[in-house]
Amino acid sequence: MTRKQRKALHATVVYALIILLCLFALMPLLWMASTSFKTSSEQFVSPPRWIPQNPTLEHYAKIFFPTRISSGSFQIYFFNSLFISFMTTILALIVALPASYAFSRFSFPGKDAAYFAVLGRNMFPLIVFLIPLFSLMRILGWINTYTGLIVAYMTFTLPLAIWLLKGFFDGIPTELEKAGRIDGCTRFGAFMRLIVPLTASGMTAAGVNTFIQAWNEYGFARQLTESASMRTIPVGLAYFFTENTSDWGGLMASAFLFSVPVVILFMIIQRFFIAALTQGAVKQ
Amino acid sequence: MLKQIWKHRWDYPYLLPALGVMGLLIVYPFFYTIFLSFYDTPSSRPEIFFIGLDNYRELFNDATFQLVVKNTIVWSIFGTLCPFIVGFLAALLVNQKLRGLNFARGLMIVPYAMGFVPASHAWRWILHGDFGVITGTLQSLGLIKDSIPFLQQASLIMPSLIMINTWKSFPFVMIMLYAGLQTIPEALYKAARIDGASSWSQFWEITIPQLSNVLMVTTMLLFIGNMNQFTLIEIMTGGGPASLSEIIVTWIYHASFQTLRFGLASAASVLLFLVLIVFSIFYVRALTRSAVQGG
Repeated sequence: MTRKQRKALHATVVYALIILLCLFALMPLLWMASTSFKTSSEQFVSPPRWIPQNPTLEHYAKIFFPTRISSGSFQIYFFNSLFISFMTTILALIVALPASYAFSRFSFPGKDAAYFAVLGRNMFPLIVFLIPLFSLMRILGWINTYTGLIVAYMTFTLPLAIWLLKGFFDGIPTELEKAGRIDGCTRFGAFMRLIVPLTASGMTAAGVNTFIQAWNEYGFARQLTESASMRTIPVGLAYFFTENTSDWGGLMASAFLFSVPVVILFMIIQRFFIAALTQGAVKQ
Repeated sequence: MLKQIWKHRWDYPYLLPALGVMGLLIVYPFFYTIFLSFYDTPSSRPEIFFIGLDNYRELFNDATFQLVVKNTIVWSIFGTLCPFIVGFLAALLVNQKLRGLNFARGLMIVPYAMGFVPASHAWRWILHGDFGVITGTLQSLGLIKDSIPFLQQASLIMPSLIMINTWKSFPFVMIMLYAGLQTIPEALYKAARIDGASSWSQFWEITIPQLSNVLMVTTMLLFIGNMNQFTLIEIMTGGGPASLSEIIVTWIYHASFQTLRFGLASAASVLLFLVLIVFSIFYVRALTRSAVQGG
């Protein structure tokens, strides 16, 4: 083999493997989309068809214009998911912002222990926290309320938001606050007026990430809500079959509508997120 | 010490909201779980009764819990190994100097971006015994006659779940290792090639040692993530049939909210805490070592 031939062979092997991996990665999303556009009878056809023969929007129509008004329709779940994820994001950012700034800039006693405790949360399964949180929420009367779920979501959103924002503060030179202090700002004033405006991109990345996490959460939402009118989409999807026997088209259409915004959002922020994810683990 | 605290007294208000929330939602639950693990919590009555180590004793003697521990070990080890191999391969592939690989990398991140809930439902449909696309395709090709009950047959449940986890987690491994590969100086490979080293020995003598920290951190994160995996298993199988796919986390959930044995579930949580603390120490060690080396 000449050098050129070997190069061509190498490229062919690499591309072949990459195409295989891409197909593996995309297959569930594609099959989800395919099923969601099939008529109820075509779902069960053998051999399975990737391209629907008689594409239909009936499953999407059912989602957007439900014929029977049941207590648990997709629109209610959608509103609940949107509202809870949005409020979780706002609350997490408000709480995380000053804390991550303090972790980045100050050197008070107990700082390392506190930071370690914050990040340590991610080492433990959320479900383990659910038993005590469930009893706490019962005492507070927050079971089956938006407040209960939004506050409970701080358990996992806050550590990640603090960690991501601290990374951004670490990248802002301290000279800025020093200059602000010389110009007569208080320390908190310098933080609010000089630093916070600079973190817009960091806030966006941390915010989008928080939103996605809250949007996808299942265990807490399942256990801390009781009535159908409080369910979020992930919980609603789990109840799908009890309400519609083996309607895979409807389930796949709902799951597809639920996934697409998140995948797109993730693709937009992936550069920020991957940078934060790999920093520390990768020696520069 | 007190002097130091006094000197920095105006630092703490920044942390106050965060520490308040964390105290309520993380520290309190942590200690409450330990407390509850020593109590019997009968579902029929509101009171709880101190029973010492009885919950722990019951766990150690319970055949189902032993199966659950075994499942957790199998799940965590193979659920780490498989995505690791596929993700490492993907990282090596997208690190080649060829066109279009950035785009391919973007596509391969999709499983990582998808939520566990919709992904699990999609897989449930793909693996459906009678009407799933895999069974259907194999049948129409004449490769099999009967349907494959991926999620019902004892020997297929764990492998199926591990396959799904491979799909979900390999992009994470790819992201981490690709970032690591990018930092290896090209000069090292050049020198090795001049010395006549084969690609194989370049891989073992340059790539692997250069990546050692990233490999360690990635493996630990993946392993801990698998031990903590709840949503995927709960939606795919609910731990069934007959606890064959139950892992500790799903067992804790079912013991608390289905059989209402909060004390027993808390004892299992404490055991899980202990195991995870050990793994976390390894993880933090790997992280700090890489930070020290990286400067």
